[in-house]
Amino acid sequence: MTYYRRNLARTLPVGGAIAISVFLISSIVTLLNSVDDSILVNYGFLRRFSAMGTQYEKNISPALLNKARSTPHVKSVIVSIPYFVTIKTVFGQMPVPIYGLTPKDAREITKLTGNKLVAGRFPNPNEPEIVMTRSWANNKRAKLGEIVEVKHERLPTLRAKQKLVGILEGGDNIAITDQAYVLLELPEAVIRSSYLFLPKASSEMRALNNDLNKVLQSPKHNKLKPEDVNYVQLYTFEKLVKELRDNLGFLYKFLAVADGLVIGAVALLSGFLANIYFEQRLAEFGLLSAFGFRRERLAKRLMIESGALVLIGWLGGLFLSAMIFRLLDYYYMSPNGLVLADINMSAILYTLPTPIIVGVASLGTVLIRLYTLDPIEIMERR
Amino acid sequence: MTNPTTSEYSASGLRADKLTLTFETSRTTTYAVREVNLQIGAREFAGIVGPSGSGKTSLMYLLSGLRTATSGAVFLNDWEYSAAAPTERLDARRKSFGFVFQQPFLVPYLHILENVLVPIENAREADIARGMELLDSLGIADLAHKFPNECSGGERVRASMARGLVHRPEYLFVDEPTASLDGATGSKVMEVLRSQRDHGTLIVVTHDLEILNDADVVFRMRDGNLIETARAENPVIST
Repeated sequence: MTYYRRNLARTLPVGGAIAISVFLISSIVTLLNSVDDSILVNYGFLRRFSAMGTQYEKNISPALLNKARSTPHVKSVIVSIPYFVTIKTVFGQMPVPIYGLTPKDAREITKLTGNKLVAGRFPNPNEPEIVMTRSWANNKRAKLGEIVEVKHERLPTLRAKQKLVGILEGGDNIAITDQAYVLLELPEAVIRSSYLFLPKASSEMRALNNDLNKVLQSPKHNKLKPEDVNYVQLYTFEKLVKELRDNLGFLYKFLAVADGLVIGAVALLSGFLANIYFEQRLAEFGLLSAFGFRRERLAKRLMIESGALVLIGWLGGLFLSAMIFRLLDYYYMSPNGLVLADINMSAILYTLPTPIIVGVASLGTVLIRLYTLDPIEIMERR
Repeated sequence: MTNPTTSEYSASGLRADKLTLTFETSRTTTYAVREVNLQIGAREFAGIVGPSGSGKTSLMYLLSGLRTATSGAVFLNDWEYSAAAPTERLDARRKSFGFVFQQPFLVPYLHILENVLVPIENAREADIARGMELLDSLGIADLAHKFPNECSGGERVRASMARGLVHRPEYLFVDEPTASLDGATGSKVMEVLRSQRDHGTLIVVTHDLEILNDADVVFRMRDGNLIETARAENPVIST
């Protein structure tokens, strides 16, 4: 390693190229993961309950509601009147629901989602008041007692502004307002009930979703009319994850292609540099070969040197990414209620081909030259 | 005395038997070394002289195994070294041979002392002391921790000599040791090189017959042929 230590002007470009490409790739993957995380985190409440609603009617039919309510894993059904606000994410504005609930249900949903009221109070009946988790409050840049901007151009929303009267913490993101106030203020045409199905135990959530899906998929079998289930949507966490994976699938494929191109370019660059540097060390290797050092030993030495450089470049790139993303999260994303994924295993795996391909490309070309090296030819160079 | 036959040689030391090196082109065959028979005894000081292009350096390469002969054989203490497996030849070269080439070929990113210790795997305290001792005897001890680019050409040549001697090789091959040195330094260097005879054989390729004054045997090459061999007890070649 003496060579690399004493030749930083040569070591840094190769190590730096690897580190920067690793940083680039891990950043892209992390940003893409942040899209995923933004949706899963902001819709994380769907792990606690599932929501059923219809697009063209105010309520779902009593027959469907009764059938769904009678499935074995349902503990209770809470009727909410949601409206939507948008929050900022790494991929732009994303709509999230604010549930209009009765005071009793508001407390139950708060508890169910693992939250506690840490500041302020719950909304008073018939008042334009709202409670939300701190992350969403930060995202809306609203402090306790301030007005929350809840307008949305395309989705059903309130005409009036609401005051943030309570901060929730500790669980999934959620926002709750008073149901009576929503019914009063939300335009009649966009009022839709959303039925929140609560499981008997959190471990039964998947079974509950399966039951509800079966009811919707087999109306005849459940003695329901087709119009009972037409246009009815069931929002579950599994469905959210599946849709997300399907939608992001193309992006991940695109990422793999971009990853390949970056790796190819860096490998080519590193291969060229490795050759240039080896050319400058030909006398050294020719000399060692003349002194009787076996090619295998010299190759091993080159492999250790290249391997260490590539490893350091890779780890340096990951460290750089982790540091930058952590700082970004600490100083900007979290204070603004934005979700930023960690440098996780998928990001690391996407960067892994870089050191491998770069190592193989640079070492491969150099080893071929090493094994065809004629020490006399080197010795006789003047 | 010219080119003796194999039967005249004893088993110890380094022996060449009809050693030939040719370079083929589409039309001609050029002999760099042609059917050379010679013997260098253990702990002898041997010189190989001849004009440029006479084949003396090629002969050194063949004797040391750096180049493979087209035909003929080299025996190292009666072992047919030239016919051994490449790895065995390499191991023998590393353990038994030392080299001082015309160019010093110092590794630029290593200190002078580190360069001196290059032939030794895992140098220990005693090796470092030996390296320092050699640098001292060659008058460049103060350069031990300098890089080659901080030294003059002559100093680098002397460092390469210390490198050739450091592992006390059984055979030390030296190519034109005084070519780039002034008279006084050249004499000092030769004195250090002669110390090689305390534990091994010294083989010097040179134009300068003066440095071979006390050689045990001198071989004169011309056009790839060994044309003359002079032993100390029966000198033929005059300076």
